[in-house]
Amino acid sequence: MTVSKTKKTVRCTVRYVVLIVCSLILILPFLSLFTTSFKTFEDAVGNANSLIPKPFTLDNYVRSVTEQGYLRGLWNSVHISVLTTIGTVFSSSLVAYAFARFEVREKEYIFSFLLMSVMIPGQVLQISMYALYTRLGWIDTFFPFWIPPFLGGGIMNVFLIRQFFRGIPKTLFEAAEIDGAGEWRNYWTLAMRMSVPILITVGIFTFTGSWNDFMGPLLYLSGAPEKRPLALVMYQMYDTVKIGDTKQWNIISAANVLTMLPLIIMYFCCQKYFIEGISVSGIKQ
Amino acid sequence: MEKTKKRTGSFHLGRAGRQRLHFYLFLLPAVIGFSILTAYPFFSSLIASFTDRLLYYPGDAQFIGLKNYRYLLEFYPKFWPAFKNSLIYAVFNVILTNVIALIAANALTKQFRGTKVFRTLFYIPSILPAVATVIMFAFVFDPSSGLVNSVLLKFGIAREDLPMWLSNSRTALMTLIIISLWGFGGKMVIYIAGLNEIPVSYYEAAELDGASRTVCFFKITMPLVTPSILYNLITAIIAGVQVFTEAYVGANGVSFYVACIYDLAYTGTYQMGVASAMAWLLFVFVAVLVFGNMILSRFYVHYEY
Repeated sequence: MTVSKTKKTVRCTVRYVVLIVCSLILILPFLSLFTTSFKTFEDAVGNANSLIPKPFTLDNYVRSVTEQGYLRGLWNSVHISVLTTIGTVFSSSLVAYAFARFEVREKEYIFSFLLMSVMIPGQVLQISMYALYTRLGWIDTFFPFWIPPFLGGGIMNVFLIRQFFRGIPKTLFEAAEIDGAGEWRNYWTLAMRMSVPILITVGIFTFTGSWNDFMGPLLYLSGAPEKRPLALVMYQMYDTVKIGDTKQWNIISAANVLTMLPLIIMYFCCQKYFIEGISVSGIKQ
Repeated sequence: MEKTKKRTGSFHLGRAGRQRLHFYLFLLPAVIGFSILTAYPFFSSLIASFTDRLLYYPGDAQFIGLKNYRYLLEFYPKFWPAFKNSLIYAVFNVILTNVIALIAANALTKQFRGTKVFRTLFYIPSILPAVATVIMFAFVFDPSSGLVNSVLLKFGIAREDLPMWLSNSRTALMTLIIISLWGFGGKMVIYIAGLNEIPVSYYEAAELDGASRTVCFFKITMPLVTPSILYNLITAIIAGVQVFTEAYVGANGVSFYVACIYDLAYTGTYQMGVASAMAWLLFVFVAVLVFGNMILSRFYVHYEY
């Protein structure tokens, strides 16, 4: 009895030690970034192993916000991501409703067909889309980011929402129909209202995906400095902010903290949906 | 019952017809989106891959058969190195992150004090923008002013022996793989979900029979999370060979597959034809992987639900 008890405490302690060491290794890069963002240039480049800024300065944040176009980039990221999210949630839920609600013989074939398109690497499609956007005059405009999300919203999202719609009892729809509701009202006031959790999950993943997208802005917005979203502004800074050949890591780090911050804040606001969403999307396979 | 309903509704737009009409109305965004955003570029790039098309001169394109493919496979100097690098990156990334994620998930499935804190800590890195992460690590691994080297220096490694990490083409690939491990948390959460599905009674039964923890892990846990493993493997391999941001921002002198496509298509002479061919070769490779995995999975995946 006592042997197993000591064994248990030992095991528990070992587990904590391992977990804490792992966490430290994970956090260390971020800690280095965070502290560097408060350092002066000389301190940042010269004393990387010291995690205490000496002297402490907020100048880097002031400079990356005022001089480096952070606010502009933030605004661009926000409206691109918000519109992408709205479009994706709206159109993928419409499509999901079609698959969940109607009995049509060819339904499953169409669904599998659409599902197969997930396998196509983005590059196969991107080159021709770029050519198309060029012809439409959409390069260096926001249209390549604003319009496509409204067209179907991605089959994986459709998949997730469809699963949820299917769980809604049929009797509810029938009752609504007796009360005179058409399909649109069924979709909008019944199915959508009852599926808020999955819609938030899909929304969050769409939002982070769009926020973190780098290749899209690099292709479509490189030529328009005032339209660059945060990811591209960040890269531009990394590329150009230097004294001589040495990058000004202090300013770059401050901007980097500011780039990561919105997502970290969002994570803590929507923690539940992040984890639940992954569980749902992971298991379903 | 169903049949009679259908029959009475077969004239006019009966129940079945209305269902179909509504189905296609709701499907409309996907139909339009699939045609414009998938089907059109899919075939357009396939056609382009058989021509010498330059991006800005679509009218001058000539059909040249398989020449682009031959050029890539036999003459283009960057093709095979890029393919090799992307593949190495993908394979190591897949194996290492999955092993770490599985171990971490196994440690964090049981509820104890602090589970949530650790889960959060491990998970957050995986949602951060790749650009930001790579730039952060570019600083951490900076040869002269980065954290890693300054610590190594403290431990008595001579300045000239310090690794150059991302700044040297020989170590850059390895460094990128190390960096990619930081984002194992996304996979960990999927594994936690998978592990939580396993009934506790299995473990209790095994414990009664005197099975050790290691035996439990390999005999119960592993077989039962294979669906999650399969999903993780497929997505990770496909994502891994397509790595772009990390390669574009961080890699110094190391060519990666998608970065090569980018160079061909969007810089220099904008060789859309060759770039399309290269993208299509990637598609073929991914398709082989996916179908291979699907066939293999019949043998090693244990489906219970």
